This record gives sequence, structure tokens and C-alpha cells, in this order.
Amino acid sequence: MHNSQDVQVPFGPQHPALKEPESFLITLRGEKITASSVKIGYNHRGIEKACEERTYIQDLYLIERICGICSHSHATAFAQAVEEIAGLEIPKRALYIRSLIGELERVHSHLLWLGVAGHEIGFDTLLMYTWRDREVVMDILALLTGNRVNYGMNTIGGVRRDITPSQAKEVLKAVDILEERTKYYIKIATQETTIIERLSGVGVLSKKDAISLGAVGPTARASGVARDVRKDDPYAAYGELDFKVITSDKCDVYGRTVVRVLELMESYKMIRQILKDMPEGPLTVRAPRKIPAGEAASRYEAPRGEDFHYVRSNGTEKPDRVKVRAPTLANVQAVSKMLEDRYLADMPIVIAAIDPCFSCTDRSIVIKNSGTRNSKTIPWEVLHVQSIEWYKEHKGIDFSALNKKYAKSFKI
Amino acid sequence: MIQALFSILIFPGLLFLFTFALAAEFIDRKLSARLQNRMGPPWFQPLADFIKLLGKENILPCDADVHIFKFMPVLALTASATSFLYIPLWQTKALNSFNGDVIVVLYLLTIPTLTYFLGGWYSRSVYSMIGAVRSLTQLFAYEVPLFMSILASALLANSWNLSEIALFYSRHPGYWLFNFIGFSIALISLLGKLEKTPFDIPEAET
Amino acid sequence: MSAEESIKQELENKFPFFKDAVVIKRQRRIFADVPQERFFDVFNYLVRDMQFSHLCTITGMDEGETFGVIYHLSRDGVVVFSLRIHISHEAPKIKTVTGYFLEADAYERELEDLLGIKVEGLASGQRYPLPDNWPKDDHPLRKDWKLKSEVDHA
Repeated sequence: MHNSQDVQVPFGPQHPALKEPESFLITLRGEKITASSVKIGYNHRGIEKACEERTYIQDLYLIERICGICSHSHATAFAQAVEEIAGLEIPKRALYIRSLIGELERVHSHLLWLGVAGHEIGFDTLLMYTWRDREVVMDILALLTGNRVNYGMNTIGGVRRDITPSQAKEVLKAVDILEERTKYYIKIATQETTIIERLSGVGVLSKKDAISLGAVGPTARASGVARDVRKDDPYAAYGELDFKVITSDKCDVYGRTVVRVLELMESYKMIRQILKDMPEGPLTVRAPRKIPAGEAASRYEAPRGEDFHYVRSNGTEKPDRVKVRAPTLANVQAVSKMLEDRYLADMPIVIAAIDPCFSCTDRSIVIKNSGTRNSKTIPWEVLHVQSIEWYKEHKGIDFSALNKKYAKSFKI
Repeated sequence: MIQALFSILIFPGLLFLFTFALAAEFIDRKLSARLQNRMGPPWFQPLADFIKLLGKENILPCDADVHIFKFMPVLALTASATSFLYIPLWQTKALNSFNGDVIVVLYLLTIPTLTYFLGGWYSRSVYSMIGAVRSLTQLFAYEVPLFMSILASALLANSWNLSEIALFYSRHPGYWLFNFIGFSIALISLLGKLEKTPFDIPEAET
Repeated sequence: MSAEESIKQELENKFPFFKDAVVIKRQRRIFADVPQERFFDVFNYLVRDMQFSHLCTITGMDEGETFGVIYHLSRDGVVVFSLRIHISHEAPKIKTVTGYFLEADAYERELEDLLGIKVEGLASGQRYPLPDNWPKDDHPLRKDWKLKSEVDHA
């Protein structure tokens, strides 16, 4: 069903408009997108297999590095699963600290997303402002945990660091500053006509589609699906916190913006509540080295949606199977649906609206010659020939005509 | 002879235009940075960027029509540099003037946009083609208002000669009021011509 | 009776062979093993009649002698029901569930690529998550997979 005027444009995996590696093959007629297909897997690093060969504590650090912005989500979800298998009862203070870092991470991620969305629609000033505020959050996280991203806060059995009262005061001061600025962003998001016009009607995903395609997180909540793991399946301290689940029935990118900005306000409320109600007590319980045989499924509301971890242990100190399903994998299949019948210029903002994080999504294998450590230097000409062979074999596209033109300059 | 050479090469010629362009770019970047709560580049940044860009490799898509692809930027630069011959900079009289040079200047300044289109089309790369078509689409939008506002002021001055227009307005300074609307429209159309935000669709990332 | 108890009761009433297979691990978590032949009956009942409308993910694992495939379903995001089948190591084959859940596409491709479990009825498409020039019958997540000495990456 290819019209003669249809042009196929490959989009990605390296492209200035995409902030993450994914490849779309879109069929264009003029400026309208008639079909699109998505290919992911470029960030596959073999983490699930690597987890099976490391102890649980080593795995915790590995899982944390799946992604920079959702690192605490993955680490907490994994720790929760292992603690459930081992039957450990985590002290309340540790649960509260976990929630605090989780909410600060959510603030960080949503501010980052606001900036990225602003950049994708050409609103660079919003990018500069929100990323300036992001510095405030990262400074606070550096104060609490020692690192701006990838906070090593969790351990199997609790948390590793405590929050002193002076740190708590700093956090509250920062939250006050951020709340002021977020109110300004809410004003922009809800009253600025250009943004409303640009984002409305773009990337529409109806409620029925959201449920049937399995969307999670703010992507689903903006289509009216009130799913939030913090409310539905409470973990850590969320059972005792008082917050609203923000939904919107706009079903488009504008709705997703509004949902994320209002979630920021809820997060500030929760951070204040956590700091006020934090109970005294120990920080960890002793976790055994050999986790008894069993299995557990744990879920966590990462900034991008529902993060699902499944761990199976077999009584040794290394897990039998670790499965991570990151939220972006559930959301990316909705992108093809969202792009139907839209214009090419909407592509970046639609993809950015699901807040893609492909480091979380693909976790596949890269083999290194760990024994001898020698690497091959492949000269440019050989690489050129190899790439032509690859495309011929795997994609059915023949670029050998190119080869003839360049043969003289490469002297193949 | 010496005088003419001086005028063309130094002032108000190519060297002056070059320096002025760099200074204008600096002011633009510094101002937008300060508006965005940033520091902005130092004063020599545009010159440094220019030198860096000179040292870059020229990439030629293999299916492109090499001659047209290489010739288009040269044509664009030549056209816009030539137009300064007729624009009065230092006095009310330009370096050269004749009756009807308003039209010639406007035409010379439209050529760069056409070269973007031709260069993009002949590069045979899908992405450039999309950008080329978009820049031509934008052309239709801003050319007419720009022409109309400039020609309106020419009509008021009763002449098609830029130097005479400048002379007329320097003699009757009160007439700026009549051209106020035209000036605002021309300013916005100029943003479109220069492909600055929000008219930078041709060089946008999609 | 809690929600989990009532789910277990309902399933055991409908499928008597299930009697001891449903285990309630804790609040909001239920695990169950089902033989492969009866899998689609149970799955259909869970999805259509008991409103387990969200598929969290599909986990495949190498259990040594068999492959285990676990379907994690959730109802309104609250209760997570993990349904597991065991398939043989020799010619592992399952039927697709993309008729129920469109997002199962990516999860089933992962099973095909990393474990070598054939999924019948899956639409043809790109491999995920391994790169295109990975050898076709090399399945990294199997327990007997050894780190090769050198893999060519251009």
C-alpha cells in the first residue's frame, strides 16, 4: 500500500531531535505521517544475565545503574523484592527515607522533562529555567546522598544513610524555593496560549487505547486512567502519606504536561509530610547472605510509570532470575498509535511526551573479550564494506552503487 | 580608483560588514542568554566559531549534484554582499544608485532563500529536501508583507531610488509616523527571512 | 474475606484442578502454576471475566529441565496475579497472547530472542532486544550459555 508519493524516512537511532536511541521508520506523504514502525534495543546491556552471576548486594548496585534518572526506583524495587523473599521487616525510618529520596527523584525527573518538552517545541527559555531549578534538587540530593544521580541509598534490609535535622531543614528550604517556581510553571502551562495551542490535540491516546496498549504512568493518567502504584499497591511509606492521584482527561501531550506539573506540587506536599512524620528508629535490619528459595514480584511508581521487578532465588547467594520491566517499554508501543495521522513536526514532542528512558528499557548483552583485552582497529574502508554487507543482508537495501563511487578514493 | 576599492573592501565594504555581522551575532546571543538567566558567550565567540567552522570537513552527499551543491552557498553570499552596494550606510547616498534599485535590492536579498531551496533539493537527502520545501513555503508567507512595507515607504518618498528615499526622509523626519506600521511588519518579516525562532522550521530538528 | 481470598475461591470453584496450585504470598500477590494445556482457559477467564485488564510483563526463565513462563496480570493495578506455565526444554513453543494484550508483542519477542521460546502467532517484525547481527540460534539467557571468546562488533 505504498503510494508513489510516499517517502520513507528513517528517524534515529542517532538524531538531533531524539534524546534517546530509538529508531522509527516513518512513511510520509508531504508532511503527514501515514505509517510508522518502531525499533528499540539500542541500549541493551545484558543486565538481566549479569545479575545472575553476581550476589544480591552486587546486583543492587548493578540494577541502580540501569538508568540515571530512575536509579532509585530500580534499586528500591529490587531491594523490596529481595526483602520480600527473605521475609525481612524493614524499619519504618528506612521506609520513610526511601520515600523521601523517591519523591525527590520524581521532582528531578519531572523538571527535567519539562525542560526537554520545552526544547522539543522550540521553547528554549523553559529548558533553561527548569534545568536551573533542577540544579537545586540535585544539590539537595548531593547533600543527602553524596551523588547527584545514582544515589547509593538502598541496601538489602534498609537504607545506608540517615537524614540529620540540619539536612532536613535544607531540604525544606529547597522545597519552598521549588514550589514558588513550580507555581510559575503551572501558570505557564495552563494560561500561556501558545503552549496550549501547540500541545493540544497532539499525540492523542484515548482511554480505551491507553488500557489496551498497556500504557503506564503519566502517559496513562493523562488519558484518564487513574493508575498509580503508590495508591493502588502501596509500598515503602506511601500507605501512610496523604496525596492525590493526578489525572487529566485531555488524552494528549497537553494533558501529560499538566499531569506532570501538578504531580510536582503533590511531591512537595509529600516531602514536607515525610520530613514532619519521620519516625525514629534503626536504619537497617540484618539481611542474610543466602536468600532462601522463593520468588517475589515488586512494583514501584517510577517517574515514568510502573516499574516491575521479578526476582527468583534458589537458596544461594546469587539470584536465579531477575526480570526488570521498565515503564518506557510499556509506553513505547503506544507511540505508533499516537503518531497516526499527525504531522512530521509533531514527532519529537510526541516521543518526548512519554518521557522515554531507553536505558531502563533495553538491558541486553555486550560481550567483551575480557580475557585478552585486545581490540581490533577496523580501518575506514573495511568498515565501509562491512556496513554495505550488513545492510544488504539484514535490511535488503543495496548500497553497492555507493561503493563504486567511493572505490577510487578508498582504493579497495 | 583607490577610493572605490577602499569603499568596497574596507568601509563600508566587506570588512565592515563582516565585523558588523559578528558584533550583531554577539549581541543577539548575549541578550537571549541573559533573558534566559544564563551568562552567554564572551565577545570574541562569533569570531572563534567562524574560525572553527572554516576548519571543518566539507561533506558531499554522494548522489548530490556536486556543482550546484557547491555553487549555491557562493551564490547566496555574493547576492547578499552585492546588495550593500545600493544601501546607504554612512551617508544618504549609497556607493552606487540608480532609479529602481529598491527592487534590485529586494530581489538580491530573496536569492539566498532560493539557494537554500535549490541546495537542499539537489543534495538528494530526504532530510534536506523536507527542509528545502519548508523554507520555500515560508517564503510565500513573509515575502509579500516585507515587499509591501518597503515599497509603501518608497511610494511615500515618491522615488524608486534607495538613496533618494533616504534623502527624502532625512529632510522630512516627521514622516516616520506614517511608516510605523510598515516598520513593525517589516521587522517581523525579517525574522522570517533570517529563519530565526519562531520561523526556524527549515532548520528545525525534524 | 479479602480480595485475594475471594479470587482464589472463585478460581478453585471454576477450575477444580487448580485446588492446591494457587498460593497467596502476601497482600496483593498471588502466584499460581497451571499446566500448559489448560493455560488459555484460565487466562481467558482471568482476563475476560475477572477483569485482570493489565499485563505487567511476561517473564521467561530457564529452570534447568524446563522453561518457565510467567504472565503477571494485575487487576486495576491492585492485585498482581502471576500465572506460570512450564514448557519443555526440547522444542519450546507457546501461543501468543497479543490477541488479549497488544503490548505483549515486545515481551514475547524478548522470550524469542533471549530464551529461544517460539511464540506462535506473533506478527513478523524486528528482533528485540538483541542487535540484528546476533546469530539466530544463540540465546543468552539460557543457563547453559557460555560467554563466547570474541564477538565481532563492527
